[in-house]
Amino acid sequence: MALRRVTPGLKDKTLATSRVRKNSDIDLLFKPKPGVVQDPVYRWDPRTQRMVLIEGQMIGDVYKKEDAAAVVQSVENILLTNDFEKPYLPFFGANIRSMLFETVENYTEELVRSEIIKSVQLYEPRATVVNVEFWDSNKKLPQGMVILREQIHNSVVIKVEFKIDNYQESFVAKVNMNRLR
Amino acid sequence: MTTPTTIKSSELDFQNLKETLKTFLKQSGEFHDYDFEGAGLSNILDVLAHNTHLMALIANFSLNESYLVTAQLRPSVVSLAESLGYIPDSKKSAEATVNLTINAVGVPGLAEVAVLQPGELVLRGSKDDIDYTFTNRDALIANAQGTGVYTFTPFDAPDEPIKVYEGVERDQNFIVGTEEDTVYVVPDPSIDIETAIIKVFADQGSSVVDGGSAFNIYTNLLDATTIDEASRLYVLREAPNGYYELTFGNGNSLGQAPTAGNVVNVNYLRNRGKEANNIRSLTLKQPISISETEISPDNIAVTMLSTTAGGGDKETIESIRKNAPFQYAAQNRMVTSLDYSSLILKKFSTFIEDIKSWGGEDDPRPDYGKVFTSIVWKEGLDNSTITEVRKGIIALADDFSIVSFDLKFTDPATTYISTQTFFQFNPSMTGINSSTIRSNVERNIAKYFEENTGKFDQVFRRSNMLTVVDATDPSVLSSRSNTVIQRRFLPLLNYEYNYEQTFPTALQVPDASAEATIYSSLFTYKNQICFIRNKLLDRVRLTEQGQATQFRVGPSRALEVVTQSGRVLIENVGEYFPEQGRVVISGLRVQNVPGGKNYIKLFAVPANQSVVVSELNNIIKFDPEESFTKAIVVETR
Repeated sequence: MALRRVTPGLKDKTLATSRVRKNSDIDLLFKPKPGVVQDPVYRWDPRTQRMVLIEGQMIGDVYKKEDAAAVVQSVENILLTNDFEKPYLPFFGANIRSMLFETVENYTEELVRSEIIKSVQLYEPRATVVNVEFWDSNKKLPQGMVILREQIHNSVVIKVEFKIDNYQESFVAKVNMNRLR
Repeated sequence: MTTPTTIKSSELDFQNLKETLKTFLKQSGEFHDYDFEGAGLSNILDVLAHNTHLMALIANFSLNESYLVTAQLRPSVVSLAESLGYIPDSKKSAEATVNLTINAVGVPGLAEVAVLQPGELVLRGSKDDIDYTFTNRDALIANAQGTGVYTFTPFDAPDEPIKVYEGVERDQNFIVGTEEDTVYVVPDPSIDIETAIIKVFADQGSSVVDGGSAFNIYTNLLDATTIDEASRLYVLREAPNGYYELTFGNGNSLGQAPTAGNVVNVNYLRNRGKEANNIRSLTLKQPISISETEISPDNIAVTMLSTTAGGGDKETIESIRKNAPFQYAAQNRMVTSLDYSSLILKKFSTFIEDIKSWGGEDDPRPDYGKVFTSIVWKEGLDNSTITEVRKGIIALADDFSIVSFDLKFTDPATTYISTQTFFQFNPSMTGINSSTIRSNVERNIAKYFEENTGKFDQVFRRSNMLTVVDATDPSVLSSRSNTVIQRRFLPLLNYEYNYEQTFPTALQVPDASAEATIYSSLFTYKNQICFIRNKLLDRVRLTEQGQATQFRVGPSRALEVVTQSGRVLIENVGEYFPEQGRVVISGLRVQNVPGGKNYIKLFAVPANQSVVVSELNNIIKFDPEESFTKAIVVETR
């Protein structure tokens, strides 16, 4: 029979604790929160019978993206970035836009899909891609990117469905690819 | 939340800067996504880090470009050198000395005295199917004295031969305005500033006809020995864009300046630098007229006295960096020995490969009141050119040296080094065969000597050479080498003569080896092939005078002449002095030197084979003919 050594004053049960990492990022829209207006100039608006701000700079803080929204923004950034765009990290991004000028082949769809999965896996460890779909503006496209040419709207929406650590539900990031002519 | 510390922005590297910013954000605690490259915050950090990185680089470049030792851009180096009063060399025209004789016997109406202005003697030279133009830059004069034969000489130096310079003559005119301190830019990077002639005409009318009513010739500031309010001086120097800019004094500090309405004429040679060196033949390119009568080319004789030499390209950045501080230290006067080297090199750099000057008091045979100069000339210079340059150097020393100090030329003394190199070689560690490895080792040894010897004040270090040998290939495991030094002397054939050679280092004492310390190459004496060596079986007295006499038999300092079979032909032909490195050969009558050579090699084993230092006028060179390498095949690793 094995003996159990018990140190006086210590409990024999392992205490499991979790450390929640908070995700918080800057909102890239850079829209300021309503706050102080610097050097304001107001004018009386007779129609609304109120003073209206006509000049001045809103200097409120920027909005923040928090929790899952921060991760979604990050994934969107990866999808929208091409090779050589990020300084000193030349192969960062899914490089999707560069595909616009490539010849469309049978394997193009798979190529885009694998690029997306690979780059998200590499640069956004908090997210895991579960599905990549190609849509017309409101209709899922059949398999095979060659059919793209026949789409009347000249646009393809790439929907990337992914999971985020510590969240049960899936999230979706979209990239709109348009042909002008 | 911890209090944010200051951001360290002194890092140059982008990644370090970004890490610093992340550290700052980590401490602020407001944003957490800085570690994810896709995050918006990461994009902002990229911009900030990139901006800081760029600013840091600009600051670094700016600082580097602010100092002569670190500046990389030519405009910066030129500008910094000029702040030390150093004007970098422009392209230099190749020059040659010629005689010009015109036979005009029977041609009526010619004046007795004929003058050729600068640019009126135009010659053509050809090299590699490219034509070059040579022209005179000094006025030439000849007096036929009723003979009808005109022999031209320089107007200012009738005893000197005529000098012609390579280049196509160009003129650039500027009208002087009312602005002060005007800079006149000559838009030509191929100008030779030394042969440029700057004339200032009174007005535009007088400038139309060269030699017309009124013009003054200005002098280069660098050639001026005195400056007063009446001096007419100019400065022509390289501008940041590679062109040349001309400036004058302001009427006070550097003598007279041109006034408004004057016309400044810059007459210069657009030259091709060193490409025009080593041309051996010049012919007349343009007709010559005397008293407005054109002389038939058949009656004009141009004789070259020297091949063309002295052409050079713009001074390189590294040369400017090296010379400017010395030139500044010299302050345009010759006081220290370095001043002599610096000023001579500045003036005659296109003729000189290397120069060394030292005071007479430092010479092995002290000669007070003298300055010794030894020069390694550039390849291809003939004797007459060297003589001309030496004259120029003496004239320069007369202008700039301290009174009562004389300049004395000493030829460089070359000491040759031959090496016997053995290296251990493991064939299993390489795919290259033994003979290829051996030739690679030999090539590396030759390269070591090429890079480290051949100039003054250079040192041969055996360990450095062996490092190069070891680095030839991983299969070369180790190496060792013996060093032998060598001087060459020209024997006076069939005359009994004394010879003395001084090596730049101490020599091995006789009893350090059973083999000869001193030996020579073969020569003929009394119809027998023989050589000199120090005696190997001599009776050497071991005790002082007054003590019981004891001898030993072995090598000594005495020299003998022996045949290849070891038969002694002359018992005592001189002696060598190990400490002084001196070998004295007395009363040797050499009949002939076999092998088509006119010199005898005198070999010596140095006391310290690890290092040979060249001092004063000594130069070390490699003698591959007497060197050998041997691969010793081993199986160890």
